[in-house]
Amino acid sequence: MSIKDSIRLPWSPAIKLQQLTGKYFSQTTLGTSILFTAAGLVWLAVMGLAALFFRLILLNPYNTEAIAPIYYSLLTLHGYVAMYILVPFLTIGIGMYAMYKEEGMELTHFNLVNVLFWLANLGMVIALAGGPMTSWYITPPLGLLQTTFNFYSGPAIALTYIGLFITEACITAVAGITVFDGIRTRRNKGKLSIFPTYALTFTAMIVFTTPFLMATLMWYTLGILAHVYVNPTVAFLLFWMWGHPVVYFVPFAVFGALYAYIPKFAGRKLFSEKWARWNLFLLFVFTMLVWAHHMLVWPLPVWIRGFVNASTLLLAAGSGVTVLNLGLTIFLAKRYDFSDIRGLAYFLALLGFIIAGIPALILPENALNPIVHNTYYVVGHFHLMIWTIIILGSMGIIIDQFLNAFGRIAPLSNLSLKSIRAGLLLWFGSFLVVGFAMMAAGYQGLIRREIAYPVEFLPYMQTMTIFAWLGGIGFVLMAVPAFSMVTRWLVMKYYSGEVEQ
Amino acid sequence: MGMGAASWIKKHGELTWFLVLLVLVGIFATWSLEEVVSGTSTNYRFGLPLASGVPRPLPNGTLVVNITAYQWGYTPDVIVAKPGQPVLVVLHSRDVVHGFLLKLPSGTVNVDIVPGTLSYVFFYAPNTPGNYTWRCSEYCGIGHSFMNGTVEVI
Amino acid sequence: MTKAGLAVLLIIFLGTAVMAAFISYNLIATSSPPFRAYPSPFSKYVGQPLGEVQVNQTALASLVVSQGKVNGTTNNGVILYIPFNWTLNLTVYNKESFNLTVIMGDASYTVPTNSSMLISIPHLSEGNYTLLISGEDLTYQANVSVIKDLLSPYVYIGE
Repeated sequence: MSIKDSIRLPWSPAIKLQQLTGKYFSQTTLGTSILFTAAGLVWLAVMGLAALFFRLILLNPYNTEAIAPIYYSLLTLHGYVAMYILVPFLTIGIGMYAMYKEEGMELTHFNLVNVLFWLANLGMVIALAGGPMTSWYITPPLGLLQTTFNFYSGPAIALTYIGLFITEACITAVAGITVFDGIRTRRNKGKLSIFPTYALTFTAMIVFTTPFLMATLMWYTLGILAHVYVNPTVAFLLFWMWGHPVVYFVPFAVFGALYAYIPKFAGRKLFSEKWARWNLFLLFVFTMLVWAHHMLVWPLPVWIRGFVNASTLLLAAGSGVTVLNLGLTIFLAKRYDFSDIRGLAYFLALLGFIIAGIPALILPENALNPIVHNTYYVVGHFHLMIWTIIILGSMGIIIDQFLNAFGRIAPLSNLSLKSIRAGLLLWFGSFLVVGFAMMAAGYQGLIRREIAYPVEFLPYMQTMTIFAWLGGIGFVLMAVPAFSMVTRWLVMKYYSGEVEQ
Repeated sequence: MGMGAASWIKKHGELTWFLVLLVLVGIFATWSLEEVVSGTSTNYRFGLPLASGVPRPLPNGTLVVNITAYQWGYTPDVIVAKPGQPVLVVLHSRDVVHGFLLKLPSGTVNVDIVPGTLSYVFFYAPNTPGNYTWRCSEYCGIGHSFMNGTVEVI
Repeated sequence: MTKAGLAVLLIIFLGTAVMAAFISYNLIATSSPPFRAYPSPFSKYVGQPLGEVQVNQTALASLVVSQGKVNGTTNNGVILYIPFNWTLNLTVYNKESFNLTVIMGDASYTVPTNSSMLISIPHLSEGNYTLLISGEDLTYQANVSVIKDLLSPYVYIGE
């Protein structure tokens, strides 16, 4: 029995509330998935702008400490938004979309999910208002130094950690609800198709790993407010228990889409569906085993180093077979459909994943890691991953999502299609240059997160900045058609008097 | 033949590639670990920065330097060594996590300095006299970029 | 067969080969022979002190005297922990406008204004020493503690 049936008074707050949620909350699975991916795109624009501006600061190799607070605040905004909210939002959005599209699985707790969504955004805003200058991971015990914060000071900086805690708690809950509702509403029998398998596995991984981050955040909060002792090594280990798996959330949700759609655009079967399913186990287990490779410059015993070295390379070998699987699928096909922008986006995502992944093979090598640890080499590697498999892969899925939701009423015009195609290529090309400039500079010793650096690296910095701005234009070329599509859809709906389904 | 190759790839391609990659993993993981354990890697000798990796006994003539890192600097921030002299640096942080990245002609020394723990670095001073700058490699606050020190080889 | 697929396969295979060569090059280029062969650090020495070392190890320390403070601390703020039988190379920087007298054990040194002096004390024997720094209205005492079985020298700077 719904609220409406039980309470009939017209002025009842319950009815008012229901009218409001009915009007402003997304009440469909497709709509909710767009809520998450679109919010992801908005946050992406915010963090991208932050990066474009701090890249301008980096054009000067002789910066002084005067500009440091601005630079590190922008850097922290960039990192916080990326890892704490953008990644989980994209993962959840893709997870919802995959289960809806491929299997007809539905969300059922719409109001709850909507409330949690807005709370997660609110938490992020609270965290960012604190503006700790700690970059994206909260280096213990640096995060506890109360003098390094912008707007809050003294014990109030605990608000930053509480804000992040709220965000992560909401995200964990939404991820749990998504998987739970999806499984409950599944009508098909047999194996789950490959896209939702991947997307939902990594949505579920949010539920398994984010509590580690929440524990760390709570520990800091208690450290600040109640002076509980925070052991840096234990806190760091705990942090990376989440901090490593989080980087796999989106890439492997996207891999589900690549497995499902690259064969469609190639017009043949996936080369080996068996491997695609086996690889999931490899990924799931090994993501949990390799996180200590972020700590290779810490005082760790040799046996841990040997284990991490081997397990990380094994994980890479698994990815090596994955890309071969998709590469052979395209190779053995008669043609690949580049005329479809989704086909192009998925192809560029795959190509980028290979190009970004191969140079990373030096990183887990213990004897070589010190050459590149904490340098731009690492920055170049993981940004190339982000720019290609994460952003371009998600773009492919989001275009599909938008076409599904708005395409019938507001189809993309030819100009829009051309603009998106140009945007994809400009983005890919520009950031390929930025990534390799970063890796070349890092290999020669350019340390990351520095505002003053040896002047011989200036040409590299100039290259990075110019091409990053070009890539930013690529994003605009993709965003404008998407925005106009949504606007057109809204206008059409308004005039046709259609009601939201 | 063309079809023969295609069907062979279809049948065995994936497993073959996986085995090739496994062999590569075996080679490089072993090679790297062997260099770490035997102490032949300039970047990373003897499992440092743990004390258990410090060579025993220390080579004759080893210069032992104790350095305290703080926000934002090192004390002392100069190490004066003879060409080829073995140097053991014991690093201690007074406040937050710092780093120590020193590029030498024969490799890069790079460790983090974690408060509450000592980090150890062992290297041979370059044979060419000159100044070699080390920098903080782990972000530690607004003065991070200005934290450095010099190895003077004379 | 598509050209795009061929390109992807070529990037995978050539990329892996190039990277294997790059890693090998780096492993060789940054490899240098050890001073002598040491036992592997796997488990044998974990957690144990450095042990007996007869060679002349040297502990470096610097004390900067400026504005009535030593290394930014007031009296008794600095403690130097030195392993037994090590050499202490102590550099005293005098940034005051007057000369300083440094007394350690029986030896006494004078550090003129705006200069520094290297004080070398070889083969320290076990025990606690006081290091007295004085001049005009400054009297400062630092402590040197020489300990057997100490892993490494260590400077404690209290606030």
